This record gives sequence, structure tokens and C-alpha cells, in this order.
Amino acid sequence: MQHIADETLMERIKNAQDREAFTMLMNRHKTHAYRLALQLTGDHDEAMDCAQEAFVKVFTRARRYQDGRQFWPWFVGILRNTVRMLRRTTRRRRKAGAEELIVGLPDHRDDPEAAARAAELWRRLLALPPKLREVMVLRHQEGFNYEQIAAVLGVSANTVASRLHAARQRLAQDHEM
Amino acid sequence: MKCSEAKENLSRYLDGELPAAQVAELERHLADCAACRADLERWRAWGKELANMNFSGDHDRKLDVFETSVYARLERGIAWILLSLGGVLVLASALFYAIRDVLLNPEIVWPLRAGLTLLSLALVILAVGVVRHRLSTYKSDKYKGVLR
Repeated sequence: MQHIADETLMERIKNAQDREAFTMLMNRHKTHAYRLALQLTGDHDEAMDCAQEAFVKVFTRARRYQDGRQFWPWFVGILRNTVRMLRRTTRRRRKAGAEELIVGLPDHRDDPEAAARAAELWRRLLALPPKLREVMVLRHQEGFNYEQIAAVLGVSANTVASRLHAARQRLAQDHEM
Repeated sequence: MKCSEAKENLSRYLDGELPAAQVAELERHLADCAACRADLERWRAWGKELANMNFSGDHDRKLDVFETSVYARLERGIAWILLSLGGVLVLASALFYAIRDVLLNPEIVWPLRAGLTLLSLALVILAVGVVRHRLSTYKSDKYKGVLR
């Protein structure tokens, strides 16, 4: 079957409210979206909520999509704002602690030390203020450069640089404590 | 270069965002400074771990019904819009008829009618003010391209 680019699917959704294109786009990115939301929220249920709500916005606000724009960075912006709105409007307590979320890297299964290191890093990441955590996630999970992160967050590249620096220093401080 | 200056640039260097002119200077410092090298390596290792982090949980089952859940949310959204529109229409009509019946009723004393007229005028002015303010802030909002 011929691969249809995300951007083409988005244009079909925008111009014709094409549900088939929307379903295809959703199935292609749902796991990635959920995983990213999980790193931003630290909670399975909230992450699922946000990922689903972000796709609802993709469909209902498709007219705001600019033709030719890369889909994924645009979607990440929507997802991040959905996470931020949820954080503002709900005060749900996390049901799962960091220990329940982490399983470590696949090659850590036979390496308890590496798994413990990953778990510790995850705990420290969750303890960061959301503004610092999100730049770390976008930089390392998504591999975005400063300009892409700046576009997602609606801030300058210099602000992104400052936040990343602050995040790494905070992680290092926590590490040394 | 002092360690304090190097640390300022370490993050940008790690992310490949440090201007070329400063890279050589920082690399010279790194060659001589074990502490800054250690920081850099630690940050690099964290980046790799974050990029490859994996999670357990019951999400596989929820991801199976992801599509159904999103379409259900879309339907609920449409229902809420219809409910809201209906509610606004019903309230606006009720308000209109209530005001009209009171204002045009000669049996009701004039101070009450005058007071209600002023209240109605104030509500209209407030509503227009809010709409105008929202429109002007939207026009000058530099983040309006960021979907919320």
C-alpha cells in the first residue's frame, strides 16, 4: 500500500473533514503521542486523556493547519498545550508513582543497575518544574532543536537554551544530594 | 576560559547549538578540565537514557480503543456545542420577553422600569466591551498561531 505523507492526510482533513485520513493519521501516531504525553504528565491516565484530546483538536481545528507545515511539530505543540490546560484545570493526584511507570530500557532487563539508574533519572525528571521538564523531553525524546522547541512553546530559542541549562543543573543538583 | 563560563556554554555545546566561534574555545577548556568533561558526559548519558526510556502499564489495551475513544469525544463535543447554543437561545429569549413585558407595562411603577432600562443598557455595554477587548487582544496576540 502506498504511504501517504502526514501532511497530505492533514490537508485532506482540513479541506474535506476526511475521517479516513484522520483515522490513518491517528493510528500512525497514537503510540508516539501517548508516550510523549506520559513523559510530560508522568501519569498513564492523564497521558491517555491528553493524547486523545489533542487528536480531537487536530480534527476540530484542522482549518488552522497551514498547508505544507510539518505535521508532527505542529501536533506536539497542540499536545503540549493540552497537557498545560489539563494541569491548570485538574488537580488530580498521580495514581501511579514513578516506580510503577519505569521498566527501563529493553537492554536493561538483565541489568538491574542500569534499570535503577533509569528509574532514578525518571524520578528526578518528574520532580522538575513542568517548564524545565518539557524542554528536556522535547530535546531528548523528540530530538527537536532549539528553534523547533521554541516554536512549540511559543518562546525564543534563548529561553529554550536557558531552560535546558537550568534543567540539567537541577538534575545534577538532585543527583548530588 | 573559566569553569563558570564553560558551564554556561556546555548545554548549547551538547545540543550542537553553540556558535562555531565558541566551540574551539570550549573544547580547549574541556581538554584541560576533568570536572567540566564529567558534567558533559553525565548530561550526554542522561540524554541517551531519556531518549530510550520505556514504560510499562496497562496502556496497550487503551491504545487498542484509542480511535473509538477519540470519535466518542468528538461526538460529545458536538453535543456540548448544541446544548450550549440551545441554552443561550433559551436564556436570551426569556430575558428579552421578561424585560419587554416589564418595560412596556404601564402598571409597573416608573422607577422600577427606569432601573431595569439602565441595567439592560449596562449589560449591553459590558457585553460589547468584552467582545471588543477580546477581538483587539486576539489581533495583537503574538501566540495566536500556537494552538491551545
